[in-house]
Amino acid sequence: MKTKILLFPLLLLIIISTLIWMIIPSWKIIQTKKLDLVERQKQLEEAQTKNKLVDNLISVYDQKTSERNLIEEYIPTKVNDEEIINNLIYYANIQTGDKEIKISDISVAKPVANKGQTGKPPIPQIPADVDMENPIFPGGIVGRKMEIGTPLNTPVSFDADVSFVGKYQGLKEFFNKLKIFKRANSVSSFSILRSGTGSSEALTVKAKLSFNFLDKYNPVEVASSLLESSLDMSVAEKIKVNTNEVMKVIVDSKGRENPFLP
Amino acid sequence: MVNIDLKTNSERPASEASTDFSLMFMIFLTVVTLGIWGGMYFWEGSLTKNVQATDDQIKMETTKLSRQQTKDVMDLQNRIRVANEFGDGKNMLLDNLAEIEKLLVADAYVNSINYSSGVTTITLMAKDFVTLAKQISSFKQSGGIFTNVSTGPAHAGSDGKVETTISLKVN
Repeated sequence: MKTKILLFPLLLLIIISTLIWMIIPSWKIIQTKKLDLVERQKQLEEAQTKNKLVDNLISVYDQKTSERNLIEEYIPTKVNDEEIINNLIYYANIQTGDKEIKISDISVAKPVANKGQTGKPPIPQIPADVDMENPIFPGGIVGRKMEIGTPLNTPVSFDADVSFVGKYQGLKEFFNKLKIFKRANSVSSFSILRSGTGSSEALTVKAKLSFNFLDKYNPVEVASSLLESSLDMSVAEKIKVNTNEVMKVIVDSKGRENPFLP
Repeated sequence: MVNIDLKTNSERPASEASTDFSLMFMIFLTVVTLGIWGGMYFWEGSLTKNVQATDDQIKMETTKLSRQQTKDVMDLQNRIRVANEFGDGKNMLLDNLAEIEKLLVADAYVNSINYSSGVTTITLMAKDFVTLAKQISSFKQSGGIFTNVSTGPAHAGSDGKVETTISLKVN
C-alpha cells in the first residue's frame, strides 16, 4: 500500500519533468525546423524557377551578339589604359587646321576600388556557429535562408588626365570625339584658360576624364537571387545613338561661337 | 474464545480499488506523456532529415545554376545595369560651353572656365560695369543648367574693362 502511495508523486514528477525538459523544448525546436523547412522549400522552388529562366535568357544572349559586344566594349573588363592613351592621341592627331590641338600631357591614374569594395567579395555561406541539427540561429532568427553565391562585381572607376593647347573649336571637337570612344567616360573636372592676350585664340585645357571597368563575373557559385528576369539590351541602342550624334554636332550659331574672344 | 473482526468487510476493497484505479490512470498518463515525447523526437528527426534533403536539392539546383552560361548572362545584366546608371553620355564640359555660348552678352568674354564638383567658375571680362550687370542677369535668368549664380568682387582695370569671377552651380 505504501509503495502504491509513493508511486503517485513519482509518476507525477516524471510527467511534469518530461513536459518541462523534453516536450516543451522539443516543440519549440520542431516549430523552428518547420519554419526553416518552409523557407528552404521556397528557396528550392526559386532555384528551380531560375534554372528555367536561365535557359530562356541564354537564347536571348546567344542571339544578340552585336548588342552584347557593344555593351561589353562600353563597360570593359579591363583598364586598357593603353587603349585610352592611344585613342586620345589619335583623336587629337586627326584634328587639323583651326581645329588642331597639341597634347602636352596624358596620364592614367591607378584604378581604386569603389568605397566598400575590397577586391573580390567573400562567398557567403552558412555560418559555422549554426547547428544544423538544431537550427536556432544566433540572435534568435529562425527559418533563415541559406545564403549561396558571390555578389555581383561593382565597377571600378579611374581618372585619366589630359592637357593640351588649342583653339576653342578644336577643344569642342576633341571632347565631342570622346563619344566615338564607345567606352563609358565622363569629364569629371576641367579648366580652360586663355593662353595669350588680346585676340589670341590659344587656350590651355586641362581635363580629368573618368573611366571605369567591371571585372568579369566568374564565381564558383552565382548569387541566384541577383539574377534578373530579363536581358534588356536597349542600352546598346543608346550607345549607338550617342556615337552617331558625334558626327552631327556643330558649334551653336546663336549667341557666341567662341566665348574666349573679345 | 471466538475471534471478533472489528473491521467492516466493505471498507477495504473500495479504498484499494480506488487507489488501483488512480495508479493505473497515472501510469497511463505517464505512458502517454512519454509516448508524446517519443513521437516528437521522431518528428524532429524527420524534419531534420527533410531540411537536409532540401538543402542538398538547393545545392544541386544552385550548382546547376552556376554553369558558365548563367555567369555570362549575369555578367551582361550587371554591365547593362552599370551602363544604364552611367547615364546617356552627357559631357559636362560641352554642356557648360554650350550654355555659356548662349548666355554671353555683347562686350563680355571669358578669360577662364573651371569646373569641378558641380560648380563652374568663370573669370569674366566685361566692357564696363553695366555690361557686367547684364551678364550676371543673363546667367540668372537662363533657366538652363545653371541654377545658382554668385558673383565675386569686380575690378576695373586701367583700360576700363571690368574683371570678375562668377560661380555657377550646375544642375
